[in-house]
Amino acid sequence: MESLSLVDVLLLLLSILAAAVATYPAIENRSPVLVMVMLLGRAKNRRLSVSTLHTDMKKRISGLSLVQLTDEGGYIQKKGTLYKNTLKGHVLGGFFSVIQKILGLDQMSDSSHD
Amino acid sequence: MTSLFLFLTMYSGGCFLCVLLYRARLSRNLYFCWFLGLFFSFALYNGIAFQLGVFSWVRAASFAFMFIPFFHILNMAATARRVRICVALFQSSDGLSQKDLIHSLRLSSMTNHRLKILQQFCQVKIRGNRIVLVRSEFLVMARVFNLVKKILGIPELL
Repeated sequence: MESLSLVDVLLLLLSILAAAVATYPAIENRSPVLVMVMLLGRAKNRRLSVSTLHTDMKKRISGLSLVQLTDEGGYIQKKGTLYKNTLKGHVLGGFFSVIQKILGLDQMSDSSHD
Repeated sequence: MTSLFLFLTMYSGGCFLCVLLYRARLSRNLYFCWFLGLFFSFALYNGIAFQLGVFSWVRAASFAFMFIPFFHILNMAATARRVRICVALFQSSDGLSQKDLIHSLRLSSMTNHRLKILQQFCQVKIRGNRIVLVRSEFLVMARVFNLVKKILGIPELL
């Protein structure tokens, strides 16, 4: 059994905490990939036609509900007819805007990465 | 101190390698680039730590755990819809209407893109006009997520 230093223990706790915190939004959200897998898993012989899957996905994940969820989460707010970021949303948007630029996702076409 | 410096350097190097591989389009699969970055930096870190005599299983486990948040950051940047809304609003100084926000989500191609992801992970196969779930790893993950959601009182996937 190796002896653990305080730095080792702190590092392990920090890494587990960071992993848990980062995984929580993935659990909280309705991931389209997992919804799709569940739909296929429930289907007879685990197979569905392309059109059925498209229709089912459209039914379950709508743009309106996503905007409402983002609003309820306190990331955006409606001012008149337009939506604007709250401070939390602005920080999130700014951070991921930079990450997308670093990864080159902002230059990719709609069909290649969305 | 040397081992902590090695830890941080190798971790940063792994993240950098992942971004570099993806930027260079050596693979169009972001998750594969993440895996390569993790694999090489993890192997290199443990190899050097062995050579220096500072290898520790706890550090190795911490190193692997640290790549989970990095995965989620990459995944969110590429696919998260709430992030997409916030980025669209961040880039628009005047704000956006509900219609524009929904348009920024690009939902019309969402199913196709998610199918592509499932194909990249060899979870589904397209046979003619039908999509077949051929592996169970993601299904097990979805069921585990559903169970956690149930426990936490969050609306389930289906």
